[in-house]
Amino acid sequence: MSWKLSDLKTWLLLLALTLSSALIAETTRPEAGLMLFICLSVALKGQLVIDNLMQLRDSHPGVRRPMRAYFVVVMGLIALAMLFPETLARITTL
Amino acid sequence: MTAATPQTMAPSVLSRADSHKDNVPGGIAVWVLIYAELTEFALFFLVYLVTRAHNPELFAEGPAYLNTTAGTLNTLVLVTSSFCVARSMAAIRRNDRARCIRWLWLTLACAAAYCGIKGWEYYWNELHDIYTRRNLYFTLYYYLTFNHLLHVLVGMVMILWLIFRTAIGSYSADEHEGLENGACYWHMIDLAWIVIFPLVYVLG
Repeated sequence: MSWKLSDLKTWLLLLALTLSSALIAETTRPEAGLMLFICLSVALKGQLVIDNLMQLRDSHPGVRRPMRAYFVVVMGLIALAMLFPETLARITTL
Repeated sequence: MTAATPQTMAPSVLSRADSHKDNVPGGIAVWVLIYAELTEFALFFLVYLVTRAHNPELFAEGPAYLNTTAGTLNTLVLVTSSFCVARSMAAIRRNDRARCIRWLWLTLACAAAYCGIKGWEYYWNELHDIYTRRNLYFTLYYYLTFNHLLHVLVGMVMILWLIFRTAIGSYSADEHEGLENGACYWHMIDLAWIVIFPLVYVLG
């Protein structure tokens, strides 16, 4: 997925997403639904920076794809670890 | 069937291929560095998640002790710094060095604000009996945030260098790869914080 926005609109959207996460942090302890919302909003913020501020949207796929994949994979792993901590504890040791 | 050669390919196909090739901002070295840095941060995140899975109570109550206002302000100034770097790149593409330098100074101001806020946050932590060895959550909080702060400091030196190079006329609309390298590195610092903030301050 790709969003073509001006730098200004990208910046304003990033500020709005940041403030929404901060509001959640200040008002409630995030449950499963809110956790997923936060992970999705972080993935979206990453894509916005990569596509519009870094200007990788139309660049070589060899550079663009790993950058985009990073946020999908990392936020996917974080979401799974947040939702299933017992499973993660069972398959790992400290 | 004739194999497609540059002579037989449609112009639109050729121009798309060329634009892909030419549109990679910065040089290969900076991308190796960026992927290496992001991999390092990803490993920190994995360590954080595994430690959290083994200490759910510590990590559940940890964020409530932190100064979320400081974390939010730091996110806002870093996102703003990324915007400023992007505007400086747009300015140099128009060969407008004066405006490029102005945006780079604003980037540096945002970075300085980040350091100031981080200093205030660490001082606030001291006042509230939060220190590195209090428990595993705070150890990882300090490890992640201080490591990121070091990246910001390195980035600030780099931005200063870019301001100097732009001022002496090293970059122009035709040649600004050095500036692109610096801009991409700065965006990487912002991207790392975009993950650290919700992971440590919000989700816990």
